[in-house]
Amino acid sequence: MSRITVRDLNRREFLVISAAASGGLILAACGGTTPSTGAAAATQTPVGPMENALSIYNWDQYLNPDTLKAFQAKYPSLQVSNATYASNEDMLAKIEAGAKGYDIVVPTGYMVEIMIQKGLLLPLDKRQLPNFSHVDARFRNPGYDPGSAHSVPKDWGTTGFGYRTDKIPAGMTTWKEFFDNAAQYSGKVSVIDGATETVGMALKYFGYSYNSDKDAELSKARDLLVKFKPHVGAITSTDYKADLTNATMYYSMGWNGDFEALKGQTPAPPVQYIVPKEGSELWVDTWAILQSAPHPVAAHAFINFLLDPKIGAQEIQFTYYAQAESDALPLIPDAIKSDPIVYPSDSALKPLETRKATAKGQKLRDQIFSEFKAA
Amino acid sequence: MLGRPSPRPRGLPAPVLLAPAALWYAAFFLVPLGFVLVFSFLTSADFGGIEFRFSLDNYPQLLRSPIYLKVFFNTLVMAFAGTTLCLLVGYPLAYFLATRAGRYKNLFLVMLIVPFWTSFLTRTYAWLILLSNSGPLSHLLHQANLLQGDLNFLYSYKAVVMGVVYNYLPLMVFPLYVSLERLDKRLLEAAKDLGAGRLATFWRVTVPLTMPGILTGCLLVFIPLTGEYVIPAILGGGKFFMIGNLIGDEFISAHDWAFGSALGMAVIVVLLGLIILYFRAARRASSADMAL
Repeated sequence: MSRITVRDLNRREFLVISAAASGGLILAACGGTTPSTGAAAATQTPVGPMENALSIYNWDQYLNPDTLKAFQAKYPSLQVSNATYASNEDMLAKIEAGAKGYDIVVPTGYMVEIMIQKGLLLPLDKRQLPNFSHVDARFRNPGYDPGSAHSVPKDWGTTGFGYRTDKIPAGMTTWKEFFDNAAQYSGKVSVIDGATETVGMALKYFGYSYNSDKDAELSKARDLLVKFKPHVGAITSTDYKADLTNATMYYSMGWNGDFEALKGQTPAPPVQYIVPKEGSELWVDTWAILQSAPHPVAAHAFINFLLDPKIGAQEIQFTYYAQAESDALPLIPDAIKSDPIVYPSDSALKPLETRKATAKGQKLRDQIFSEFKAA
Repeated sequence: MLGRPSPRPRGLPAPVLLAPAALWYAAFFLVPLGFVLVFSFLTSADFGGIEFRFSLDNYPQLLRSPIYLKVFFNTLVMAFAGTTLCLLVGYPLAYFLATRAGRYKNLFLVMLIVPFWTSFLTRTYAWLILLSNSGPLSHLLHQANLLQGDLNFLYSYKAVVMGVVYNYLPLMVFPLYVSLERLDKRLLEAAKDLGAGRLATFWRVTVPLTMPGILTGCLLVFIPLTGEYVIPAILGGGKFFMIGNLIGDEFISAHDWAFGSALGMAVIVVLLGLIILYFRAARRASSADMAL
């Protein structure tokens, strides 16, 4: 039952939403607030002059255009450019293949760990990030990046699925239904274009851990996915909002914020988001700077700008993902912060796991996913 | 074949003329190909990338799952189907251009070339708009009462076939046009004089004499088509996979460069084999024609 231990350890970092009640406990669990970013910070050279450009490599639709405008107003000499990717794995592959010129990337926790191991992330200079003080204690010393030495939390959320209540009036509550109902709604179901998510949810179908590395369990997940494939309407991380809106798809795997965003559309499509009963993924996305970043000073300035609670409150009204700063809460509209889709209750977070990747598990997931796509 | 000995060339010697192209191909074709060959015998590193450790595991992996062989098979079927359709659609068009277009011939030829002025990617994305369930075609068909419900044409095998024929047709038409244009019309008259009907003339005179154009056109379509990546990715909605997509995926998403390289080498070997067979068959066919 070792997986439960792993799960608990990971969950502990994020579980507590009522920070006041359990904050102390979490701090204790994390071994206290060790403010040191280690020797790296001490030996760091003085902050250089601001460069003239900044290049952000981000998920699609994951930065409020108003935030970018405000940032550019503050630093008018900076030429800011944007590129997007569809999954953590895509991003890693492009960076490792030698993609140059990017400063900022937005890896999910488990990917931060991988990128640190590969030496791809620049240790952050906290002197240049005074707004890091706004980050809630429980996000400051995550298991994937001790002491937040290489990353700061951008936002966090859940992975689940949403369905059109007009097309599926009986409703759905489980991953079992997600996969088993596909034949009935053939061609009307979509999954995320990411090995971790899609293979992970096939594991959850059987009640296995999201992080299982057992060959037998992954092989069952593979068989399920291959059988499921003929009914898949699309494999996409970006189009499911539109596909659900115009009923091209009846149900889609996706991230909570995207479904929250649908509620804000006029007219709002009849889509219900759920975190399935078997459990699912709880994730934290982060801001990080690449070791190869040509503009590290501008990149620090950008991250610091984004850590401002006012900006966080602005971001959530665009991305609809929960912020890691309680200081932002008073500035966030009630409709968003009281919505359990965005800020789930403790009990709702309980069955969730955060991704913890091993080399073997990641490779098997990649193989299964490429077979799934080709099937 | 050359009627007279060529005069002694003057000016730049041959090596100088060949050097730029040779260097270019050495640097940007042979060297990368060498990398792919070497990578296909190395090991994938933890969390992707390449590790410089010799391995023979990548090629047997092709057989690990029947799915990879299925993608190979699908790709070849798509390439054959696409080439055949291009020939069936392209031959009448080339015939028309060469014999019936008259003074509008140049206009038609320009019309065939003009699409190339727009990026291939942009044109493929344009089909996405035209053929979507809420696009103009769907709208027209609904207006004309020819369609109830959704069009559902995009993201399917037929959408990929449509895109393939659209994009590759000019590659088929131009060589066909050239050989039809050069066809000695007196031979057709001779066939008629000797009592051959229209069909017989076409099959026994026109087709054999334009065989070089047919062979070139088919090769020009077939080879790039087996490596097609963009059309299935866009019009197939990432659901219909060809071998190019699988290789791209191994490099970009699965991050398994060793296996991706092995896949690439396997495609090269299979294609080389097919091309050799093709030329053998072509030579046999043309010598058979000579005998007639």
